[in-house]
Amino acid sequence: MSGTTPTAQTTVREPHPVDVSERLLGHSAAIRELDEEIQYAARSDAKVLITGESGVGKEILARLIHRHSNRSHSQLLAINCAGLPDSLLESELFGHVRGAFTGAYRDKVGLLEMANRGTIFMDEVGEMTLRMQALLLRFLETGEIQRVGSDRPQARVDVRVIAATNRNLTERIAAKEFREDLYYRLNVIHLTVPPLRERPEDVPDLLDHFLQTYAERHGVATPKLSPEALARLVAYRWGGNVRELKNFVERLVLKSRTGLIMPEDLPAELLPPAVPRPQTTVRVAVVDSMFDRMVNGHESFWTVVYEPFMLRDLTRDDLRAIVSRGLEQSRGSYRILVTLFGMAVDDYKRFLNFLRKHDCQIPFQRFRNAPGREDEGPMNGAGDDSPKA
Amino acid sequence: MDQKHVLVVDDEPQVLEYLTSALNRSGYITTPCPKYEDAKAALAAGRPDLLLTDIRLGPFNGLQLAIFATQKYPGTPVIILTGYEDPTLRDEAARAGATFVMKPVRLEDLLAHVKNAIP
Repeated sequence: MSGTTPTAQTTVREPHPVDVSERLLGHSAAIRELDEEIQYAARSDAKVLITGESGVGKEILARLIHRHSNRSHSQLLAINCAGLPDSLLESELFGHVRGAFTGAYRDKVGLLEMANRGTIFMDEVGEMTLRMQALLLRFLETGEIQRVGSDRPQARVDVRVIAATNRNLTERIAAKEFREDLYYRLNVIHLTVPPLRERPEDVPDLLDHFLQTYAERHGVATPKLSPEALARLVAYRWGGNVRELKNFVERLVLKSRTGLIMPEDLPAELLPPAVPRPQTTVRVAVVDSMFDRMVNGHESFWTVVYEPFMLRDLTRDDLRAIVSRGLEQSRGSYRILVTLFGMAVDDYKRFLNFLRKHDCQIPFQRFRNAPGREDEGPMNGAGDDSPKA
Repeated sequence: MDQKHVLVVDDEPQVLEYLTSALNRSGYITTPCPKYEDAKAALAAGRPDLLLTDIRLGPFNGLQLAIFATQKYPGTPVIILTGYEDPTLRDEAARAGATFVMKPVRLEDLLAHVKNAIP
């Protein structure tokens, strides 16, 4: 997409080919019912709010609704509303006029205008600031686009909005963090995708699909699962839901040598099945590699961690593990951590806001008593001087 | 004349009780439902002559129920009671073939809407 900033490009994405299918995968009652609801939603033109944990496939639902709707001849554009500063999100959605801000060298059309007669999928809508919520509400009421830096509306557009969140919006409304009027505007058709652990009968279908898809993609024979291996995968908790399963299957396909996957080929966290599963499943190898790229390879946190996290290839537990590991080295100082993770010193506030927004800001105090720690002033921690969200 | 069957959906128990009693007194058979999911099951169990639903049903919108009812059981008349004016929702309701009735509504006016929908 031309004209977007590098940061914004990470938020606007085309569907991953692996995710494109005609219907939801799985045969559980919940999925069959969702399939039916998708058909009703597609034949209507009402706004849709999709809720469910991270990784359950909310965007897939949005794409299916769009594909089966009478807007399918037009575009579906997707944007992740989390992690973007207001100014960038506003410019992405509504566009801007030349000279609106430093670096705005030419007029830019926003996604809502680009999606005219089509659909926009707004993921993580619960993370929007109250200011952005007000702008979105005004758009939903009037359909008018006012580009950043312009003093009047440029266009009226016809866009179907499908929003998604993994937040409990009614709790956010009670906490006055989400506008109730916006909630009722967005929540005309309400679809909830249950977590994978509540529908283990869908796991075999998902495994079959991704095994076949990744085998084709990597040009290898489709591996088979032994009954014991399958049983363990069905019993596994899948805290990261379908996204975790999908990533897991790709690794399995790449590692498979014999074509038959036995229980011993599975990662340690899947063995043995009788042991209660840990609440957190941090992928140590991934965390190690990312940590090394930043600390030794001097690559930036924004490239190494932020981007995969926003694309959901990294879980919160992974992010927390990376931050904890960094705090061990920086002895509890978030300011030192910023430098350690290859960021500019000025990125400190943005970094902390990002961590706080995603509930990944680890208390620094417990790292401060590490032996050999040098004294630091209060400005060196993420305590008193941390920016307010 | 056969008694007409009205499926009444509202997540506020007192309103649900008030509406069903009023309709019963006017000669209608009613099935009261406090929840969206119950209403879907009730629609499947015995097709009512009319669906009368509030717009707010917990996390669901009465319009979603209207969309479901009119697509799955075409020809089912739907009245949606709403406390707030919203042109986009009104358009959506019209597209689904549902009638919006603004609250507060006098009982005789509501009964007139019901009679109009299922003469």
